[in-house]
Amino acid sequence: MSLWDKLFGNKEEPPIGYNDTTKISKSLDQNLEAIKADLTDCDDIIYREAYVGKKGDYKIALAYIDGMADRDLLNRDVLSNLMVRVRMADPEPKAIKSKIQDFILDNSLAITDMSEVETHEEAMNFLLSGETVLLLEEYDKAIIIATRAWEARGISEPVTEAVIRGPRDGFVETFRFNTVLIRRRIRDPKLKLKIKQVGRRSKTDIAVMYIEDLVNRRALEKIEERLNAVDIDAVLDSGYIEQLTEDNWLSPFPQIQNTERPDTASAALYDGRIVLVVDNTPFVLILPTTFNALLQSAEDYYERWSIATAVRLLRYLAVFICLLAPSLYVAITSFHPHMIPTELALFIAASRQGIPFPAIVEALIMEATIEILREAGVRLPGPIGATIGIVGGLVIGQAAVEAGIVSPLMVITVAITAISSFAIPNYNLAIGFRLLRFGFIFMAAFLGLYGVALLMLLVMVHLCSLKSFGIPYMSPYTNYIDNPNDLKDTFVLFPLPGLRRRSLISFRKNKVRQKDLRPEDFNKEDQS
Amino acid sequence: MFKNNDLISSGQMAHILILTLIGVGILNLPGDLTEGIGTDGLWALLIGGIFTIGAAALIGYIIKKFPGKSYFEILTTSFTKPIAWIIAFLFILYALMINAFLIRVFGEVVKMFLLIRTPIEIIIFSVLLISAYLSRNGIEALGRLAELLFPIIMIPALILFLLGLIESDLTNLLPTFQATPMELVEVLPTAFFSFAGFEFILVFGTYLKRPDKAPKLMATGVGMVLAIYVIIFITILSIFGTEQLAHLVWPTMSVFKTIDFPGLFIQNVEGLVMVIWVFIVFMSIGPIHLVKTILIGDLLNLKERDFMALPLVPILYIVALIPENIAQTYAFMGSFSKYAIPIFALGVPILILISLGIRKGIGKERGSRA
Repeated sequence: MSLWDKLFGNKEEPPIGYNDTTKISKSLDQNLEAIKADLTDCDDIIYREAYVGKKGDYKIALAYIDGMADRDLLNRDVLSNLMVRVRMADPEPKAIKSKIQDFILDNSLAITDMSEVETHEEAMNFLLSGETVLLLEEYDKAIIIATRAWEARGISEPVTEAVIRGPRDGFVETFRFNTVLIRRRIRDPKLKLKIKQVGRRSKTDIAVMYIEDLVNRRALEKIEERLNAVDIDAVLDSGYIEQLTEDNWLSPFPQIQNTERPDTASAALYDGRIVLVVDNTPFVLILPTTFNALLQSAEDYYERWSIATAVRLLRYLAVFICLLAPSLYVAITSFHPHMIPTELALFIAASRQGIPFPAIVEALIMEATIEILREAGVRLPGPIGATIGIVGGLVIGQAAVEAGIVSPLMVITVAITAISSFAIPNYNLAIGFRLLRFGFIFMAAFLGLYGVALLMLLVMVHLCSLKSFGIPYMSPYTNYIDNPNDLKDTFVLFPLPGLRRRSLISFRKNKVRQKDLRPEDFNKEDQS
Repeated sequence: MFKNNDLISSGQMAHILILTLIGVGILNLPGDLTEGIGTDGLWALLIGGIFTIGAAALIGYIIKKFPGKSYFEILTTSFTKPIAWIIAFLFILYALMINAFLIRVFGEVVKMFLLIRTPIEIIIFSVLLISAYLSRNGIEALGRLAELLFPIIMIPALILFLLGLIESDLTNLLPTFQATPMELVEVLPTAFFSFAGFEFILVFGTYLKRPDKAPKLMATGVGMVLAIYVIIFITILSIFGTEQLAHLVWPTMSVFKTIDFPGLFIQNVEGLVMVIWVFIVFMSIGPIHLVKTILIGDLLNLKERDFMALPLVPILYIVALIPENIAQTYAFMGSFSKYAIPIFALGVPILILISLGIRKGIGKERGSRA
């Protein structure tokens, strides 16, 4: 076995799982035994066996998971109906005997959502997702009663993407709530929702949502193909799907956007993108995505364009500072002090006097401190986190300066850098920049400004080589000659009446999204 | 991971063309031009530029006539395989020499203006690694990078040149129309050489989404370059005058040294300029590196040619370091380009066209016989 195989596992090794299917038999006892055999030592399963019919000789059995199924509904609308109404129904015992199955199915179950399955495995799958399995004597199908109901977190404001103006509802962990939140915003029969189950053991529901006549068809084909190729034991969060389906999984930049906001997801759908809703996570995936889209916030479109433009320019500045500020400090202090005005150079030199470290060590100490603080702040419980932030940020910074370990200018640089990284709307993207920042610091210490320029080139080459489901990652900045329209929604945001066409991501034959307002004269009546 | 499909738009191709040309030409412009005929270099530049537009359109025409064909395939259909092999091999050598020259000068400038104590070997090697990375990512990444970098380079550069004009003295442009026509003709090759680099687009032609637009895009691209060169030429000449210009190695860089704004945060804009300059020259080094990668792949008939970018790095590194100093580099390059540029920028394309004409003639004859 070669080293590669040892490190990354042999390709040939098949994943372990169950693939066989068995039909449900006519004998109720046999079926029940099969379920029980599969679920030995699962003490949270509740089995209810009962006899119904006029003579009380027709056997039925219910199985569900305690806590996942709605017990009230089962008692009120299933069991009582079966036990009472079936008994009262028909005076002719002969007819009942032969037709009791039809009678149960058609006349006595007061349930809207009900289905039948023919295999044991399907029944198990439904049972484990919280539905109730109803087995009947002499019946070779299992009846699935939709009883999924469990305690869930209510819809609350998204934590990672708060806005000042805009809707306050956010996605939650429950799959169905999330699709509803999107569906409520798009009352269009063209909104499609295809559910897939991914994960051999977890059987996680994933909904592929798109608007049929707007969606980018190539991206849709690609995501379906890639989702079908995923074969993993469990999908615990949409992060799994993101990493397993993105184009370049070595890149520090996210090629699939995630959001907690239903309005962002709906806006993406209206722009011809695809939304993946994954069960058990409030983070919904949007694809394809671009660098530009990751620097936009939902709020931009709710505010007037001039404010949004100013904010966006600010964000691009934040990206720049977040990426380059410490490395420029290192490059200029250690290689090119002659490039800044003499007074400033002297000031920096004076503030660095007596500091025992070269600029790079200084920068690394402070950057490492602030990253540790940030990580600690996430782990610590709310109130303590804030306290530690103050203690760490203020006290350590102040003490370090007074002790003469770092220069005050370095502390300022690091603080601005940290703040800037939070001004980037997308957390994943900000993490990418945070990582790259260390690369820039090393290059600055190694080759000065030239090193910074080179690494900038490398990052740009990488960004230009990236694609997200067929859409160039840096578009529209890399194809403005062919597609000048998309520039209207970049670091400048045009007034809403000017955004008449959808972006290049959407289906090319359906681009117009609003009529031209210019011929309309809203002031006509006032003037006359 | 999922691969690119390798097609670029004509807009992206035009950007590649412009940036490649500027990166090569900006190094010796306008010093070389004024050497022979002083202020009349402007007219030589204009005439040479217009001539180049024609030559570039010719190359565009070849791309249009062979849609989707690689350079090697064009050569093979025109001259039979063995000759195509030789020409392509020489073309690779030619690209190698130009690339090595660019890298050497790049290294010298960076060393002089930014990293005085850093060995040039490290400067050269680091930029080579980045250009190899670009070549590995192929034409699509290059096309997008060119379009992305174009405004990033051009907008600050234009502003800086306008700032430079404050120091200028337009009388430095006079007297004009002093040179005899013969003198003008003698300088024309120099003017033509400052547009060297457009012949590399022949290799990229196969990746063009709309090959029918090639002649127009080539002509527009070179036209843009001509406009940019004229601005640079007028600015530099009006700032320094012919006399002072003769003593400057890199006049373009020296322009920015004269910019000084009291109250501006950056006292001298050298740092910003150097960054832009690194971008400009890299956008020449990168495409030419890619040209070699593609051509070697074609010659050796490789399916996967991206990895050929890496073995080129040590070769380029060694060739770039052969000349002992910058004067020797320029002297060698001068004598080399005198023969090589006319052959590959004019000779080979014209031969391809002649062969195309002949084959068309034969085809017609056969057609009429049948």
